[in-house]
Amino acid sequence: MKLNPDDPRLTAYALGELEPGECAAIEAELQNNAECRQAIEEIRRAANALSTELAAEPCPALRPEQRQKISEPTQPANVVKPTFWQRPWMATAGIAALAASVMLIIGAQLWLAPNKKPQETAVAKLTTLTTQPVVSPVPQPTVAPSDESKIQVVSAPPAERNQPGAVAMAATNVVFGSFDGSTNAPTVVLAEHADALLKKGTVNLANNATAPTTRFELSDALHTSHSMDDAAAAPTPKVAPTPALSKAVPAQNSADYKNASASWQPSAGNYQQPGFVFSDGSSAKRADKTAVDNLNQAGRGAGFGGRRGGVGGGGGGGFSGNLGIAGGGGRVGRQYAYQDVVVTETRRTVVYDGDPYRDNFTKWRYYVSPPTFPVDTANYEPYADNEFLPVMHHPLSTFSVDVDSASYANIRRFLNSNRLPPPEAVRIEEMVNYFTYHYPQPKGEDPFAANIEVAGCPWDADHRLVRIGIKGREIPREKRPPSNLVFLIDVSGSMQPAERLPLIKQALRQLVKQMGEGDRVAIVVYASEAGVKLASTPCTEKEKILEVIDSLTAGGSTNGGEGIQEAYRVARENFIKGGVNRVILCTDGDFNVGVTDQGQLVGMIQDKAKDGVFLTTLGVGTDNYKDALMQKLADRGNGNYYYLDTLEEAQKVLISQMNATLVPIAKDVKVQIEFNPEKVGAYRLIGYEKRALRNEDFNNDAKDAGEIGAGHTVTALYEIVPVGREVHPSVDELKYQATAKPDSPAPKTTGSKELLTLKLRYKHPEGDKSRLVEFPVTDNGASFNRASGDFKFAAAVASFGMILRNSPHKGNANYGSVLELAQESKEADESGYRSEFITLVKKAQNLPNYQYR
Amino acid sequence: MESEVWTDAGRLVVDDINSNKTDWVQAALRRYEGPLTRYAAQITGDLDRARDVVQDTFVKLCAEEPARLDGRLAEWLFTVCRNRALDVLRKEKRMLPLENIELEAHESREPSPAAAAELNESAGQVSRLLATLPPNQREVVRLKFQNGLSYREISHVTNLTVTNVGFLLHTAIKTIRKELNRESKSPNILRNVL
Repeated sequence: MKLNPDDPRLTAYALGELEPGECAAIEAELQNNAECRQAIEEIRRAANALSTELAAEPCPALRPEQRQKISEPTQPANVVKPTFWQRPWMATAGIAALAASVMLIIGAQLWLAPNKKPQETAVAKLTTLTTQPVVSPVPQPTVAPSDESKIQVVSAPPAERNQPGAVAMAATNVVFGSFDGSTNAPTVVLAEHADALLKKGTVNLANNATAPTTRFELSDALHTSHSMDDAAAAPTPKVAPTPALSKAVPAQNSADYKNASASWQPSAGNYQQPGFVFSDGSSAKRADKTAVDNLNQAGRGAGFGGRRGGVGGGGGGGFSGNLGIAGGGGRVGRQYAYQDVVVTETRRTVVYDGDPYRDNFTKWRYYVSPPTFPVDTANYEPYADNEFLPVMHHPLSTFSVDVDSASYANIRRFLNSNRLPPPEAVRIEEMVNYFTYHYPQPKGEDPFAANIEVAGCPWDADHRLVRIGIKGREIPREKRPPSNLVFLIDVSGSMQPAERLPLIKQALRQLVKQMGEGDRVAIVVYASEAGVKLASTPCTEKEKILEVIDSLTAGGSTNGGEGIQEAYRVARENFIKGGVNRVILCTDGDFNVGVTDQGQLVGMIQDKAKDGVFLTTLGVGTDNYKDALMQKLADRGNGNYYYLDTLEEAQKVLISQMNATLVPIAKDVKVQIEFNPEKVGAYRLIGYEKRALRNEDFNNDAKDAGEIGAGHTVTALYEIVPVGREVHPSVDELKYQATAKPDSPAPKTTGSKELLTLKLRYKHPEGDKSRLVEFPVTDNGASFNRASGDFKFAAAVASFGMILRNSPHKGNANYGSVLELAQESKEADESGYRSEFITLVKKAQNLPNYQYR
Repeated sequence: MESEVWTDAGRLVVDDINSNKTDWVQAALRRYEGPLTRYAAQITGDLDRARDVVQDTFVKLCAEEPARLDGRLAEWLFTVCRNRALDVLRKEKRMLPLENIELEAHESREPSPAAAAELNESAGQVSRLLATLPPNQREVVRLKFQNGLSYREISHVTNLTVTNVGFLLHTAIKTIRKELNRESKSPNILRNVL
């Protein structure tokens, strides 16, 4: 046995984790292996340092009352916790949740028993809470909305029930709001019934017109439904339409009624109201308009009106604020009045607090949640999967390398919020390239090495799978060349949510911490206007840089074009020859002021890239996320593109893989494969649809292509139909050309036994002339089972991508087969990304497969 | 119980562990309350939620038979605590309104190891190196070196295979000892790297 100093067993041995038998073997080996003895020495030293330092970390204790509870064996289940709405982070959500639960109960009842007389069943639990007022009780619209109102949900005496009221309206809103953006049947049913409810003026609350606090006597749903009948004879309130409100909610009940109807209406997105008639006869169309205005006003006034999702959200929210409830499932209904497009996102969590309805609720949730996809303005470009190409007509396949991994992070974000990603957001090459593979380092002069493996194809037994792996040379941390970084940060209003600017700030803080003395950082921000927030500063003054990062806040619209100009100017002025010169653009990509034309923006970036400044785009955000633009910018700007969904991802991109992200070792890297028609009948490149190059562009140095950073791995998969096998979908034989017969060798070939030749072209990061390297490949007929772990894992990721895209080429790949492949190959999982992949596949497996577009 | 004797594996050595269950729970509480809370806080990123998690864990312990957990108490506690903490995290990620996440990010994100190490410039060099490791390596390192669990126990707690745990620890230590070596050769470089 020859022991490698990098053997995990050495670590286990040094830590006393080996079985006695194995110990003896290692010890024998150690006798004459000084290198391993040295390693063990170092491992022990590191272990001691770890134990000592980690032991010094403080051990926080429980609170005395908690400890007290544990020692009471009689009440093991009694866990002392603040009631959920008392917790600071639940304060607003609690209100929305309560509202939602009351409302959904009403809604559920309506829907479940649309044709029969309502039964006495629903129970809204008695709850008292303090909150911003839902409605101001005093009949003047000028009442300050900040008075604290008490909403008490109790049984109401019948006499008070027949007054139509605003809170109940809010309740009805929720019924609709839950279906925002969906166009399916239950929506309509509900809408109709709620409509009926509205017309009858049944929803009741007693209100005390003079008291500063309102006691809403919202009975349990049973009362509500009863009154549906009672109220048939009640007068319908007549009100003049009220224009958009941006301040206080008008207090008069009937006015609220009107406005409430109007303001939630647009939040229903594009669903058509079946014959919805307002009490005063105003048309749905007009209400729509009013409501959009409403939303926009509220939205602008509060930055993001309704985002809070709580009652009276967003400060100036008025009834738009109520929409927050309306949209809300339990968690939070987010509605953005943004760019004149109402964005609604409904979550599936429903707070429910009454057992008798458990079963009904399950059904309810089923209908509420999965189909409610946001009517968002996120932008993904649809594209078709690469097809099989016959080698006789297409002997060459050319594409540009791509090290981006944004698509995977974005898919993860979708799955973690229990939604399947839209197929066009799935780019298989970016999924495959998210993972690190253990390709050997390049030897000699070349900046990268190619590693090619051919084995059976797991989703089609007749086919072969070729994995092309390119490994960029690693640069040790301390050898990173001096860097001139310009952070170009979008601080517009849309960047406000936690997973946008705050996430970016934390990520950049960590990056700055890692910078060395020779490095410089400048910060350019843009919102309505762009400006240099911090002139290029050496990283010896980290405190100053961190301070500026901390001071960034979001607000205003987005003039990205100007920001880009400014950032490149700063980068050029501080250019470090032989160093890393890079603009790091952090945005949700929603440029809406100034140069907004995509073509123009992309052109501008392409132009700037000629100066030797590279670009990294860090994408954040959800609803209005401009994936396509972000990708294009990075592509044309000699750059790479990452999507940051969590701080962990930021850490991967900016810290763990810092050199790969920042230090380019080659640019305009192009791949061309020539297939041998004697071996290959047809082939298909998996993914890279957006990276395809024309064959003649391979030798054209003026043609831009992808970059490779230090230590990056790039993986591409080709599915190959061996010569003689049938290709699906097949084309007819050509009439005017002699086609190769399946069983006879193709005419005029060299008779080579090679499967294909891989050709790579690349330029030095600062050079203009490309270099060419070639690697011939022979297929030794390995079966898939014999393939390496990396090969299997890449195949698993590609299959998962094909399933998510519902690709016509997915063959017999299914979630089960993906899991099996991934499980087989996850042992060498340094960072846990492979285990996470498995979790995501399981998640996707359990999601209902809705077609939502 | 002044004379509690604990083995590394969390085995409470007393005459008869079944003699008094309350004592048993109390002894476990004294021994593991701090480490579990620290561990939970690393997962939830919030001390209050970590405390709730640990309270739940011990409440569950009250329902267990001491004899059944003999010798694997530590493993059991860390497993239950971890699962509970992940539940809470998942649930609250789903439940949190956005601005409250923001709030949390500003105010109470203290124990997130990366951030903590980042904020605390005076923290030891090893802890700072630790902050640059991927989360799964950080977790096994802490379970091993902070809480003294064995490979096998860590594998039960984290649902990874023993081989995988060994590999993660090996990789983490490799990174750390590389940096330590470099630092001992040239103390200035580390400052640049961090």
